[in-house]
Amino acid sequence: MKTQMQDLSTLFDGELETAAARRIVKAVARDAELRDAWQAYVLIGEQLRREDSAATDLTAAVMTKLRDEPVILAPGNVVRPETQRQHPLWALAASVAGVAVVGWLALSSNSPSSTMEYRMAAVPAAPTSVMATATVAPATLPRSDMREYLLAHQIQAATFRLGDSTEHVRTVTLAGSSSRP
Amino acid sequence: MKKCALWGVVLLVALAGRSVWGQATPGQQDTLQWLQRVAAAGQQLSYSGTFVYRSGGQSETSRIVHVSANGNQLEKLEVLDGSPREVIRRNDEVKCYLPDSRLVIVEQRSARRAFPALLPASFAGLGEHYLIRKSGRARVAGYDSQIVRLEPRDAWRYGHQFWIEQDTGLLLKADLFDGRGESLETLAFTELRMGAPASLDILKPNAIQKPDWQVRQAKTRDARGEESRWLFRAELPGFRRQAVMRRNIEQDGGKVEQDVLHWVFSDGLAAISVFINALSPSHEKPDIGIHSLGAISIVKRVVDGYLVVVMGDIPPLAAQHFAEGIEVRGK
Repeated sequence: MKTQMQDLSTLFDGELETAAARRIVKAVARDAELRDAWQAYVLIGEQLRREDSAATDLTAAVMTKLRDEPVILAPGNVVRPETQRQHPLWALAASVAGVAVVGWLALSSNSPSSTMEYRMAAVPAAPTSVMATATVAPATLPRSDMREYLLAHQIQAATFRLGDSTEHVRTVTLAGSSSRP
Repeated sequence: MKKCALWGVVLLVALAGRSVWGQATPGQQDTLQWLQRVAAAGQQLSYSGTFVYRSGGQSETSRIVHVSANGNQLEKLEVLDGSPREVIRRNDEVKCYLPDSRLVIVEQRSARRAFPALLPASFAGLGEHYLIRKSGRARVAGYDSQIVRLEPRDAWRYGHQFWIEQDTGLLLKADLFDGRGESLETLAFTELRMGAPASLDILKPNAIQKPDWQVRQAKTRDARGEESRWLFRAELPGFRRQAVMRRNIEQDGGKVEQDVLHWVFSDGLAAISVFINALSPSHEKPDIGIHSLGAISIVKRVVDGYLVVVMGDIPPLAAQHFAEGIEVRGK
């Protein structure tokens, strides 16, 4: 089941080889849980493309689509720019830093009116090493003071740590992805 | 002859390796490939799980659901302890729900279009500033993982240790440590399930946004050309300029809106933001100095009537050194 879910995910990424794609499509026809997952993928795809769909049950539509155009599942028909397979370093940083946004939120204090704890680091006159963390005296600042700066930093940092031009391609691919199921 | 052909293959592989990984040795190449797999997994996999974030004496548990489908990404992060906070990300749009503050902050991650010439070609560049090596195996959240350690080669950055899931490349645990090897920040899955969630509902925000909630839509625009007024005399080795944008930042609970220039510098793992805005006479005296918040160092200083804020996951003194090199051109 776990592998079938993964296959389904791969299929939606357009990267499942033909035989496996056939197997998974057959499995979807049989298995209610896989069918739900399929629906979820379709819905998510649509949501992401801002095609607001009022329909919650897409089963019929999807099954019709499956009957009418099974060929769409063959990887050969999915035009996929070569560059999308390369994963730039920013993606690595993003997978680490994506959670850092929550990390910061986690650090922000629980009550909206309270203050965020900062540590004020005194700088030694002649630092022997930048790493030598200085004496730390607690200080508090109103949390709203730095909140937007911090959020802007965290979110942009996740994007910009090592850029790569493949991201242009990704944007383009994203825009053109409506042709896929 | 056979031997000759074999060496030919080895040479070819080595050359191919060079073109991708720069000067990396075969051993390093393998290690860099693990990092490459992390990058791929973060974009391609669907998963859900619970993780613990620890920084200093504080720790908090959060839940993440990440769905990659059709090259699109949808992600929900919710903090389970303390006040409810959520982050919903749809591709490049990030929404932070802060129900206790009745606030939604919407931020668009910028397209990576700025400074293409300055972008490093590959992961190999990381090796110039970090000593990268494999460091054993361990089990995290029930999965076997490969440990990869990146030690900083100088005092301008922190070190990282990643626990990478063997089969998928998913990052199971990440640790940020200082020059003495002391952990500053750890992020670790305690429970993880691969695959898409059974229901879409789980990706919706839990918070019910009421009409009295404030929505802060961050407005940014590319500001290339406007930044030439500022000079960075103490750029840190390996940190390259990734973007410069103009943005509005609200302060004093929305009473004051600042027009801010925002730069992002990065060495590939750590990132530094520089914010510069004009100080008005009515402005409260800014609390200049060095602060740190978890692993993030913040330096504030005033330069010619401008407030300069430098922040990043770098050592406090690195941030200070960098900040002190910022000045108005031609002064």
